[in-house]
Amino acid sequence: MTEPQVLEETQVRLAPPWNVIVWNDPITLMVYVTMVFQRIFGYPVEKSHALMMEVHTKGRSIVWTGAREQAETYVQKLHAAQLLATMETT
Amino acid sequence: MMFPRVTRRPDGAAAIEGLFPLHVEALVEVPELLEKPEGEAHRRLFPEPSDDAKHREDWERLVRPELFALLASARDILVRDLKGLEPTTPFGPVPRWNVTVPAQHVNAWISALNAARLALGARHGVSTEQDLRPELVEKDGRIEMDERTFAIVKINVLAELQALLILEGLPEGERPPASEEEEGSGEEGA
Repeated sequence: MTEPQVLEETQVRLAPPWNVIVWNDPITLMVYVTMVFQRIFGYPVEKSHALMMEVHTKGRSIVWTGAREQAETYVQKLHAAQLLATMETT
Repeated sequence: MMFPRVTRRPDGAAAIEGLFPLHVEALVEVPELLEKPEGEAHRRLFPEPSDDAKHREDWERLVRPELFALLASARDILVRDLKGLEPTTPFGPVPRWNVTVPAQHVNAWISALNAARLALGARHGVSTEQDLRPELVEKDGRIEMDERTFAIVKINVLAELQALLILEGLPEGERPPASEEEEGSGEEGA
């Protein structure tokens, strides 16, 4: 007779991702914002420019989504570049 | 009339040439603007990272000192380089000025100019792109400006230099393109 087999199941709840948001301001140069996106996120110029235009026309843009720790690092770098950046959980 | 220009030298230094007295006046004001930003200027240069109170508290304690230090470093670099400002036509009717920014200082200049423009804007309540285009009033052949309008003129003058440094002073591979939407080199508002 075999022993009853106990199956253990572990549920792993993934932490929700965080959005990094950049907000429009009237003074920061558009070309500067594009440059900052290229440098901080390593995005190609087309994507950096498109995100900058979204900030400019819509007032804000989600520029990155992912783990909290990395989001904090990005917000810190964006603040070092004097961009208005915040982070929020999705 | 020749406008100021920036030329990237073979050693990577950015040569800024042909500055008008207004450019110089705006530039020499930058260190004071960044020394101890207070009130609205402080809030703009060191924004909150989120709505969460605990997160803000941690940010103030752990991150903000580093952001202060970075801005102070950019300011100090600009102060040192501004000592090299040279008049090119000291005996002419309109003096022009040159200054050279060493290659390793170009990014600090771009950052310091950006921060100074933001600080000026915050001090003078600039909250829309329209605010950056004040109506200039001419009286008896002279343009009259109140303090706020003059500050806005300086924001725009520093924008011109910042855009020139980005588009002409950085290595070619690091320069973002000036797009059609931007109508030139460096329109504000993003």
